[in-house]
Amino acid sequence: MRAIQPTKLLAFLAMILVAAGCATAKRRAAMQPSVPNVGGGAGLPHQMVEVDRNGNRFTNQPTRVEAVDAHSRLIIEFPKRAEIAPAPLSQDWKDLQGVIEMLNQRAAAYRALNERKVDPRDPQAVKQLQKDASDAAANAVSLLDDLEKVGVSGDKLTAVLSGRALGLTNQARQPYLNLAVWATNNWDQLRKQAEAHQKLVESTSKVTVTVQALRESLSGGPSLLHIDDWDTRPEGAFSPIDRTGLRPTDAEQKRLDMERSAAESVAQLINSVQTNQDGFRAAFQTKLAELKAEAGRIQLQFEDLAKNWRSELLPTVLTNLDSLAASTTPGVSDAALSIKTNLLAIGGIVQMITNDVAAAEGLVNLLANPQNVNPLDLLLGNNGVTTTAEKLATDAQTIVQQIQTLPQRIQSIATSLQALAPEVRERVTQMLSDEFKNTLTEFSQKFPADAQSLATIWGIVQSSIGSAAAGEVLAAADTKLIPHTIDNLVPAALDLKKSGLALGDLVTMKLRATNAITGELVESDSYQNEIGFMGLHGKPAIHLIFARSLSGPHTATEWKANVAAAVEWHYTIRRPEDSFGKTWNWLYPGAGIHLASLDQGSDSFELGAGGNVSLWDGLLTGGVGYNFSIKREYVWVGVNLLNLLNTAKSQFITK
Amino acid sequence: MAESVPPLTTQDIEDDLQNPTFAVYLYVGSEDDPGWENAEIAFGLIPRLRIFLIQDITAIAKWVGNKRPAGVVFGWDDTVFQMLNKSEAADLKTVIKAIQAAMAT
Repeated sequence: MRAIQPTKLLAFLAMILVAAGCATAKRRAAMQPSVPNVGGGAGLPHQMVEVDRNGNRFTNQPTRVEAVDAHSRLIIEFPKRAEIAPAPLSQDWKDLQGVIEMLNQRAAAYRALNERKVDPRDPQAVKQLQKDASDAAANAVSLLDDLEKVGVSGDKLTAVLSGRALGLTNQARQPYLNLAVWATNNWDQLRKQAEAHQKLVESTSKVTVTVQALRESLSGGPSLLHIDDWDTRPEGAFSPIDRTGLRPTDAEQKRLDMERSAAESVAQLINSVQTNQDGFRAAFQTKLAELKAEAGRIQLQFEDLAKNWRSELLPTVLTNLDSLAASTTPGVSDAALSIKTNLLAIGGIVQMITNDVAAAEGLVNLLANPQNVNPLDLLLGNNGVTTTAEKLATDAQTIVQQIQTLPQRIQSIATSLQALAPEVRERVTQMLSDEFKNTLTEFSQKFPADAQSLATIWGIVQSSIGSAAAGEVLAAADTKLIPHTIDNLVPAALDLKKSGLALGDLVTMKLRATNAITGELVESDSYQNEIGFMGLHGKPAIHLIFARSLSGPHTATEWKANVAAAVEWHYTIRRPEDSFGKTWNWLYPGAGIHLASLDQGSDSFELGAGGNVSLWDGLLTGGVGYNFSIKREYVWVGVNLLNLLNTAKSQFITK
Repeated sequence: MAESVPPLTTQDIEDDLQNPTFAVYLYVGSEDDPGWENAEIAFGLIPRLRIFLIQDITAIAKWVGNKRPAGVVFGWDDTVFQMLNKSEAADLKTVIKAIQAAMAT
């Protein structure tokens, strides 16, 4: 095996750490505490909880990858049906006569209770009066609820009940009478609203809910997992991952095989890059050319938009708007504030686009002559493809989301401008020139497709094919789902011990609720969970290592790429609250033992063994040991390049 | 206005608070406020409720201390059940629900 210069090795390690550090920190950050939250918002109320082997419950968020214990159950829970569907309208709202009768009864009960004579010293009579009055108050709340359902709420509600809607004043203390008169005058409108609400109630009862669980694994690709009562897939075998890390399950064995294969591949990759750079570059050529072309297209669009935005006018306009915001003239202050908010938002998006002109240009330049750059620098250098393209692809997605709001903002500015003086209108109109608006419209139409294209190409380069494949697996699996209606929801529980998982797997539980009548997607939430262990646990791993003997001839003391099999013990604090716990989980330190295949002497097979430590889930490792073949001590450092090197293995390596 | 404090006094409020057959809602502000209109509507919808328009907040310092609520809800005794801020007191549904909850306890 060819030797590597120590300085190059250190530079290589630094680059890897820069590239992989963010991802690892994000993954470890998933073990930070999260704020309990019921997902679903205005859609289908539900929550996802992890129930550990001691019965402790932890609420998970749809917005982040949560670290969960491999021996837990993941459960999506739903509240009672009554809380999911809107309550039907009271029968009183079927016809006007019913409404008038109901209001008369309420008013009569109100009068009777107010006139009831009760001796305050008679506790039984007082208690009965309190109960009756409390019931009447509950009826008042329910009346307001019904009115809301027929479209009478907010200011309109007070206007109707106070009599103002009828042109009456000083009539607020007769709300039942006011409402009866108003309902009589507006019965057609009320009836339409009542029917619309009834339809909503009926269609909501036709919502169907499905839950799917997907496992994504570096070692096995995507696969669907069984959830009791929610799909017809066969139940998985009981195969809990061993907490000591010494008895791997089948899935764990696959992960280790994968790590070994990746570690061997990278050792080979490094040698390939060093000895066969031309072949390595050729393998990159096509994909990088596509990436360059897309970055070029995006650069041109960014430049077009940025040059039509007159940012130099912004400070003056903002000063004008600030002074108008203090105005006491009705409507002016609100209009000025609204325009200011929207202008700042538009300015922020254009600024991001302006900043990304340089990123796009940098990527184009970087890829202009890839053959003149060291492949490892090109990929992993400080301003290499990984850093630049990742930033550009991420920003592009953000820009796509933000530009959706721009037409509404421009419309809102146009409306608010009517309230302002002509000279301010003129200045704002200069900023939002027709040229800028036209460019923006064109940009809004074209850019999402280009951003998607960039993300796709970058996804391929990053070996994100796994995610796309996962989507296909989910899409193709609908036939085995058991849909539930919302009056028949049961908890969707996934037992991780029966799911054939390996540490580091990503398990996604996906909830979808669809209105069968309207076709509307009521809810779509995905909960991502990374499989790990909480508390003390062992974890087997295969590491790519760079080892050298501490003594001996030149061939023994050179750093060389090798592979080591290790078992490391870690301790994870679940959802830590103090900074020590958070830092500990972030570092995820481990200590253990290893066996290494070495290349320090003349034997065809050399074996070493010793102790090792690791940080960031094995991202950075080091160890000392004894080479049994040459009978000398050795040291090693290593990095877990699993993701990057799997990419290398599948996409780039040329043999 | 018969329920305004002043001219009514702290003692008048206290008398009603001591009466277990009435719940009480105090609104702090002026007669033209939407919050007072809400208090009047609540009075018209819910029986056995007394409402007071408090124009001098020191008159109710005994119950609210140095706080500055816009609405003060009592149940069947003289214990403050809930205080409402200005925007809460200006929302009819919030006011009615608070009074209903106070009466149910």
